[in-house]
Amino acid sequence: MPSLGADMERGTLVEWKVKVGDRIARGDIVGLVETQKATMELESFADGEVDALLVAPGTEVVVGTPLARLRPPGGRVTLPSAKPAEARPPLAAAGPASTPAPPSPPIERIRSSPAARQRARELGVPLSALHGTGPHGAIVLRDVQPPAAPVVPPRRPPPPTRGPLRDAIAAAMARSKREIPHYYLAHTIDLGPALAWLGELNAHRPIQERILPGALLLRAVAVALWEVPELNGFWIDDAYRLSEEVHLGTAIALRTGGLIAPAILDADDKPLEQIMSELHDLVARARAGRLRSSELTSATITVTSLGERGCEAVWPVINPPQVAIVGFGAIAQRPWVVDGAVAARPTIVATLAADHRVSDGHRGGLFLSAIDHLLQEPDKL
Amino acid sequence: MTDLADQILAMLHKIAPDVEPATVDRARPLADQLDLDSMDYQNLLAAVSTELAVTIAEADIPSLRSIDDLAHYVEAHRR
Repeated sequence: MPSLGADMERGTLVEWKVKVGDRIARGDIVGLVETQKATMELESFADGEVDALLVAPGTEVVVGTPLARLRPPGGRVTLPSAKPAEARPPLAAAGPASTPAPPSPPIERIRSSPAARQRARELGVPLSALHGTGPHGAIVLRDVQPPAAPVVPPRRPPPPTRGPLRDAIAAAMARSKREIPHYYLAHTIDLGPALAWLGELNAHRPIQERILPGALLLRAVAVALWEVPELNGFWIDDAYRLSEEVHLGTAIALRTGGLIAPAILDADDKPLEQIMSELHDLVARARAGRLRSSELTSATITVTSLGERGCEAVWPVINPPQVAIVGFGAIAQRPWVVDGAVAARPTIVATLAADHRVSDGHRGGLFLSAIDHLLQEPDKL
Repeated sequence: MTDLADQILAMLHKIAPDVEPATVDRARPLADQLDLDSMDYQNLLAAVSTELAVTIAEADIPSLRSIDDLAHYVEAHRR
């Protein structure tokens, strides 16, 4: 059971989409998982043949519980390591530690000996909670000790619930405000050139292929991160880790209330058209409850747009373990000085909330300026 | 015209299943009465364009705000 959110402790396997003997590839949808936040599609993290399904549909398990065992074609496991074709016995799928949740990948293979795995199973200790002292950091028998304390810390009686999604948002946002020293910046951007350019572009397109301003804003954020890359990453276990990939979490309001922020993967590598089509796809699947596990765990930074009926600016709260979030208010006509005279221009207020442990206002300001400059030359985006 | 408006409302219901067609005021801008975002609205325009065989010009989009606006537009621009 992969961790599909910073505060996820458990998940329910709703349905298997594969059966024993099926050949699957990394990224294939193997089942459906229900968490506090949503029902989502579970992806395989490896190629192989389904050797065993270890958890029955309808079962709720803690994060880190093996769900299935994979066997590579031919019955031997090749670990993705520097040594090619190194044969290993089949490994059980193991998830990462329950807290804090590493953002990606959702599941990692953990090197361990068969005896260590056996002992860990008997003791009910997830491998991810153990420190390996064997070859290449593998977990060996001597590393497996009964847990000194319960793996899931004891909690006070749960407060009255207002629905699972609201509870999940409450937990993540309360943690963010408790732990992350936010700083906030705002910058008003003239969208005249960008909207004129989009209008031209859309005039020659069928309505289904129109590019909305929101997609252009996402693209500008992704590219601006090249200039201030430290805003793109994670704060985990008192340490910062920069992400090489830009996976743009996009906050999507759900009709039933609450919101969810699945990621457009590698957004800085994708042309505008693709960002637009993926955004369409994400919104549709978010509302249908069919997001993929990788989309919900991999965001390296989040963008929240209030949309055309929103108010002028948003001061967003960082989604941990990310270190920054970008907000856009509604596009509005405002007085703007152009060539020494005041003119009415379509403008938007871009805001940034960022983690002061990682970056400072100066760098944050450069980032918002970079977004501004990119939007003045939209044809280059 | 009522027929057209009914068809458009049915498309809207598909895009936003929580919207009950009977409760929509056809003369009032949709944005004033429903929680539709720009993506929903584009999906509605795309559905109208495809299913009712009408080309919607980019420049006309801002004027298409209510169900009645859409029905009149389709009536006038049907291919």
